[in-house]
Amino acid sequence: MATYKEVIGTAITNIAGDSPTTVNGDVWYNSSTSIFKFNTVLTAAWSTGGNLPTGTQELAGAGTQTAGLAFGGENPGADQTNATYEYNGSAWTGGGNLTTARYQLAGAGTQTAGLAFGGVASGGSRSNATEEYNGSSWTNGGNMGTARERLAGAGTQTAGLAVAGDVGPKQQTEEYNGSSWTSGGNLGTARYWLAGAGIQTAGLVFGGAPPTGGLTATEEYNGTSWTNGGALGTARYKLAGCGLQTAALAFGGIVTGGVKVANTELYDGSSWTASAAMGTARSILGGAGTQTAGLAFGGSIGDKNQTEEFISGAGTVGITTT
Amino acid sequence: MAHKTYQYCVAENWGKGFIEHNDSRKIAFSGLPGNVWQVPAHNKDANLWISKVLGTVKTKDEAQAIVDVEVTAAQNSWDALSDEQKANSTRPADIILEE
Repeated sequence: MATYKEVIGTAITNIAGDSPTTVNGDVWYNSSTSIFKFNTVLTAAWSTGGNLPTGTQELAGAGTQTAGLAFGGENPGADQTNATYEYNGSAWTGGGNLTTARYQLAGAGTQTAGLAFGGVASGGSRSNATEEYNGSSWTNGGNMGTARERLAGAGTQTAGLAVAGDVGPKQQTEEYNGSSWTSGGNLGTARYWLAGAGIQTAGLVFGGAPPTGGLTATEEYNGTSWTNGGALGTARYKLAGCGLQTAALAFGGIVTGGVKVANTELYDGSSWTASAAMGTARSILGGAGTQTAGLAFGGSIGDKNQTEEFISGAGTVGITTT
Repeated sequence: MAHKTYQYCVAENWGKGFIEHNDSRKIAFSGLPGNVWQVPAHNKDANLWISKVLGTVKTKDEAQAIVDVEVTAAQNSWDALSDEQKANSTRPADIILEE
């Protein structure tokens, strides 16, 4: 039998640890663990994560898959909640409560620097309130110029983006600088119940309603104006999203006929491609993370407390020999 | 006898580890109301997963009955909403399970 070197032309590298490269197909011997390893592109997949302590829908999210933040929303059989939960990659624990309980709000930022804005507060009043999270408690920020719900959020606590929503022409954008909101460029397609991703100067929105069956429309923001991007493969609204303008993830939502879907799509900056579906179809859910490590939680689904974690991209596989 | 495409079980999703990424790569899951899970029939990986989660296997008709109870309850709750609330939400759709 030919040796590896005879076939490939080089011997397998001996490394006291993992390879510093992530080139697909790289093979090496990890002398620290005595395991042959190779880099491969893993098939995208969802898995279940820790359940939310309380079932919640119409909530908002921020952060990453291993440091996520869920806040606000609506508990089954109850009205608006001000609850905040922090995710560590396996379980949710309670954080500081929002000052204003609300649902259909939007979020941005990280677990230790989160931003909540808009939504429907007690009594059904449309909110323009903004709150900033520091990892343990929320404090009031500057109010949005236009109160609205079912909007999309993106960006960071000091460079946030609020887009569209169920108010006026449903095209308005506002930009946050850490203390106050100013007007940005209007969306080309009016909508609400859309999803957002990216940052203030490279934002992305996709999906939404009307019409009842949802939109495929995607738009990209450059900090000043919106331009059309590639259309979603599945028209939908009440979906969630995460990631960046050039590497975004869309998941869940509702399609024609009021049917919830588990569809996942990946955006590369110009077009969407279908990826692995979630285990459970759901709408009005929360989302956080990146295109290669996404997080879906809550929503209109069973007990409304289920979490799912998405992974894709390069990974390392070990081969144990005896 | 008709060839079955799917099988059904009831299992409570306990969270982390209930469905792992490798499960998801091998099995097409569909979570349904009432803790009902649809997975491929005649599939070794799906059978192993049902065992792992201590799922109770159900026939399609039994699973449909469980789902119907949950969907009907959700539809009744929606029907009881005010017109304004209905305008802001979507009536839960019927779910028809496949053999």
